[in-house]
Amino acid sequence: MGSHLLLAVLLPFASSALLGVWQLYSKESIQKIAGYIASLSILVSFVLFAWMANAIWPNNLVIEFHVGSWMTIGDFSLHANLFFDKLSATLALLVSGIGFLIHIYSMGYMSHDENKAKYFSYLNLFCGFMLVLIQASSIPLLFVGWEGVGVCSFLLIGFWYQDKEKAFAGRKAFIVNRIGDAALIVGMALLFSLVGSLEFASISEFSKVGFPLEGVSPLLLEMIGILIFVGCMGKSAQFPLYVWLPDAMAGPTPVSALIHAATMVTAGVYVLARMSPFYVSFAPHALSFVAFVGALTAFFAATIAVFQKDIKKVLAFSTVSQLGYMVLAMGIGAFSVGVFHLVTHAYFKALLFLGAGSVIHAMSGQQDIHKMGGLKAHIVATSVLFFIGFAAIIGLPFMSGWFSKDMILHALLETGHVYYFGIALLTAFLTAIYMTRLCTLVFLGKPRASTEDLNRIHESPKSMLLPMTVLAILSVVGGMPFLSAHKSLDQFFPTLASKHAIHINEHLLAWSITIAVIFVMLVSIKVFLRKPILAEKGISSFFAREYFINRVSVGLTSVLMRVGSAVAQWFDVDMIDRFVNFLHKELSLLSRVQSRKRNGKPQTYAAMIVVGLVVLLIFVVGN
Amino acid sequence: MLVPLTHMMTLSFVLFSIGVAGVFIRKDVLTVFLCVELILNAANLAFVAVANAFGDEFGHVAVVTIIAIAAAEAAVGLSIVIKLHSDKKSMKLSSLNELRG
Repeated sequence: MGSHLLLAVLLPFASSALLGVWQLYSKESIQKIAGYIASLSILVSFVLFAWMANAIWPNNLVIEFHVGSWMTIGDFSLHANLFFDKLSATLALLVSGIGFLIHIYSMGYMSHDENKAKYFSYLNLFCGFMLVLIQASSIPLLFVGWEGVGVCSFLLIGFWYQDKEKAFAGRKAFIVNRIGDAALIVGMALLFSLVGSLEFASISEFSKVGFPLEGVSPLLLEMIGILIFVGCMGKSAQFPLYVWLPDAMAGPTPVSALIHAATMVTAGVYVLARMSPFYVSFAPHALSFVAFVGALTAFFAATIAVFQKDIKKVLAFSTVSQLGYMVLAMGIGAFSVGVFHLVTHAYFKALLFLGAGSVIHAMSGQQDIHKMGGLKAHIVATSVLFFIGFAAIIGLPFMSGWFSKDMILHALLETGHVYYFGIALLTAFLTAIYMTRLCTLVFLGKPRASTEDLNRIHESPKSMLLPMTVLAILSVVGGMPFLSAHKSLDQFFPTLASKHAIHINEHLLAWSITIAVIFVMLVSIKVFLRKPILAEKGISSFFAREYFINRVSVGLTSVLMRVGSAVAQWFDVDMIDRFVNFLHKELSLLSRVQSRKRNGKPQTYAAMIVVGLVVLLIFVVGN
Repeated sequence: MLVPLTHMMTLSFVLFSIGVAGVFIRKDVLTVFLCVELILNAANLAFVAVANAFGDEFGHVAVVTIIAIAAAEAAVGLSIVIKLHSDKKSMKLSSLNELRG
């Protein structure tokens, strides 16, 4: 079965390479079928994963495949091994399943683009690297996938690179991620010096020894935990490294849905889940830090989302906030619940992004929600599907998001984190507010678009609506099978001992929160129907501009860059150049004494020759 | 032996010294060139005188060789002088000072 695993991972790469090479030779012929080739490869991958997951799930099996030795240095050797356990299976199904739907959607969305083959080649490459990331059995191989998806993200954000701002957004994403990656590499090196291996299995085995370790400073262990988490902060857009994600919305909308909402940004959460034995055994304080950053990110991204006016920016900040939720769940040791939320979030956030894409498509590229309104009557199918996503994200009863969000809130109380519970609850209300605002401004109320735009509104093609329908069904029922599955996933993770557990009836908690959320939603509908456009001044502009964090961090970066370049210039001009000039000046001073004697007159030279000859002669004869 | 060897060698030395002094002192390229020829012929005279005094044929051979080579040298030297004249429009040796440091 191992070779099937390899095949499932390699198929997207193969398809990507095929499309890439084909379009070099014949750009025209490939455009029409590119989407079909790309989608088919992902579909086959998905089927293979489904088949393998079915085989391993009941008996907790692990499929391993030894691809080969990557490198051997002395007695250290690194293997490129793939493995497939329950956690990998969950994410692999998610990536290939949603990946397939988004490929289908892209065929409709990108139908007017002339670089379809390039687009699908990148998208396939992304899926391939994401699968490597998930299937890798050691951190270095995971890092290959990690960087690979980073590159694909960069390529796809800047897909329309002729637009300067979009190209800039791509670079920004790449560079901000570098910060996290550097920390991850350092953490990886420290971990290797400690464990002597970077295989996940060895790390789990090592973690079973438990604390305290003989001769190892606890500070080092916490530091490894924090460094690895900083890597996750970059990829999973946690505060303060979230700044790239809102800008990443410059890419095509299906890309935002797949990479910047459903899959790639959850890689950090996946790494935390994968490293959970280490965190629980050795780095409890690092884990508290994880929870703190997660709670902070969840809350503050939600406050920003309330004041955004770009439909995709609202969803982007919503994604940051929901990622914070997942990271918070990881931080308090509710790993399986965090993974559960990761999965349900992937369904409804992908749906919401695809819905947003459909709205933008209908409005011929308009993204400002202040200029929409009343679209419900014009694009019925899209609005129905969007409302399902809306219901799932704010947690209306029996939707997938309802289960997962409630489980996180319950876990927060169970582990005794009352403050975090408060923040998470506030975030849930804020989520209801900004999502209600988004839906009200886009679909309800009076149209604010010009009549010219209104006449041009058209429903999206079937290739776009079909994937949305599938995702909508998953958003509704996707939580149910996971209710039992997550229990079996629970055995997979270590348990974190909690001190001040607060026991509360889960159903009572869930329903009281739900009623509060519905109340918030109804009030928001009323408020935003009456006053859809917020004046951008005072406190609201403070929130709309992300607490100025983005501007400050960009400003700080440019200041640092200027200081750095000034220092470099000073060193170059005042140190290196001055030293070289000094050398050349002093040496030429020495040579000038000699060169003065060379007057260029042949007769002087001749006289010198004769004098020299005479001296030699005297010397020879004298002896 | 009509003329003693010392006289011949003295004449050769005087000729050589005149030549060397000329090369050092004279400013005109052509005169310097003539002085170089004088040096050569002083050497020739010394060769012949010594060869005659000791009865060694090698000195005669050397002189004939030097005369042959000097003819070629004179051709090369004169062509350099002509080239110098056409380039610098001057026959002064001091105009050849490109190597000044």
